[in-house]
Amino acid sequence: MAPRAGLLVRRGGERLFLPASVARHLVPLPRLTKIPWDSAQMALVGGEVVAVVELGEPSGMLVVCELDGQALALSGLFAERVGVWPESEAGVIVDGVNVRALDLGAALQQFQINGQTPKDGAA
Amino acid sequence: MSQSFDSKAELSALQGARILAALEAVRTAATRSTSEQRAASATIRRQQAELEALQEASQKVGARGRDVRNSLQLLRESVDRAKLTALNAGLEGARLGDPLGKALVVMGDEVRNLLARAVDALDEHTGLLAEVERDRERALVDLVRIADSTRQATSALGRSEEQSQLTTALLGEIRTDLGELFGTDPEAAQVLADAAGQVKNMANSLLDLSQRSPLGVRALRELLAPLLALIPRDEELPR
Repeated sequence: MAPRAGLLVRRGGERLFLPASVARHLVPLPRLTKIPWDSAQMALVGGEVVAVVELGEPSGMLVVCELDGQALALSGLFAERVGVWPESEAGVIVDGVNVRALDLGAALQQFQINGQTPKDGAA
Repeated sequence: MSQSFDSKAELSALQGARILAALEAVRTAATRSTSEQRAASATIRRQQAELEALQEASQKVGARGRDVRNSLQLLRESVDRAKLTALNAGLEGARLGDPLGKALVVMGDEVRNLLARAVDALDEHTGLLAEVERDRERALVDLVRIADSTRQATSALGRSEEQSQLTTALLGEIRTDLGELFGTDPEAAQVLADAAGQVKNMANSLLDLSQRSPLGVRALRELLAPLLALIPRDEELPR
């Protein structure tokens, strides 16, 4: 099994894995601005405006990710550990326990679906 | 002769002496009681001042506690930031991969572990501080209650002291009035009563003696004449 480097996060009671190729860095939770016609939020991180996807209750930090060359921040995640762990089918194996990788695509899809409705309504 | 010594005058002198002596004793006791009350009042006032100082000190401790809590909060924020930095260093190392980034990952993890312990210690301190704060609040409430009771006791003692002073003054007036009534002061009244008692005994003895022997009567007359001459007549008394 090939080792995978990345970040372990906790969302609610669930432990999830974010690969190091996606998770760029962590920042303290900045001021979030709600977009009036959308459920999405925006934040200024390192002088750059990034979209924030809310995945849970506020945790006091944002996980800044890079997806297809685009910066995207995730809120509601508690960062636990960084390391290199053996790969499993769903994610990685940490201390003998299978930890699922966070399905960022699904989260983003949800974000986009949520974003479409108000846009349509506004149009 | 004996009947004359059982007269009302003799009784009045004796009773007057007793009443005046008792009054004097009561007045002395009342004066002593007033003095004790004054001392107790001063002690309670001192304790009240100490209690107020304690309350002030407790409030200062409360303010210091708030400062410590703010410092702990600041420390907590700093540790959280440092934890993020350690995680970021680890992420950077993880992206660099083995072997270049391994040291960064290991160091980041170690720092994160240390910071997690620091967070635990900070949480414990915050909890202890909250407990101390609760205890202090409870102690402050007790102190306020004790201070209120002390204030009430001081007030009651002050009123009691006033009453004692009034009693002492009234007793003094009664003593003066009685002294005027009996025409003498308590010591003189006592001496007079004692003398009356002695004279009564002597008269009784003389009566006995005169009844037993007519010869003795003559001898006694001769003996009493110079003794009676020793008692000054009214016109010889000092004005």
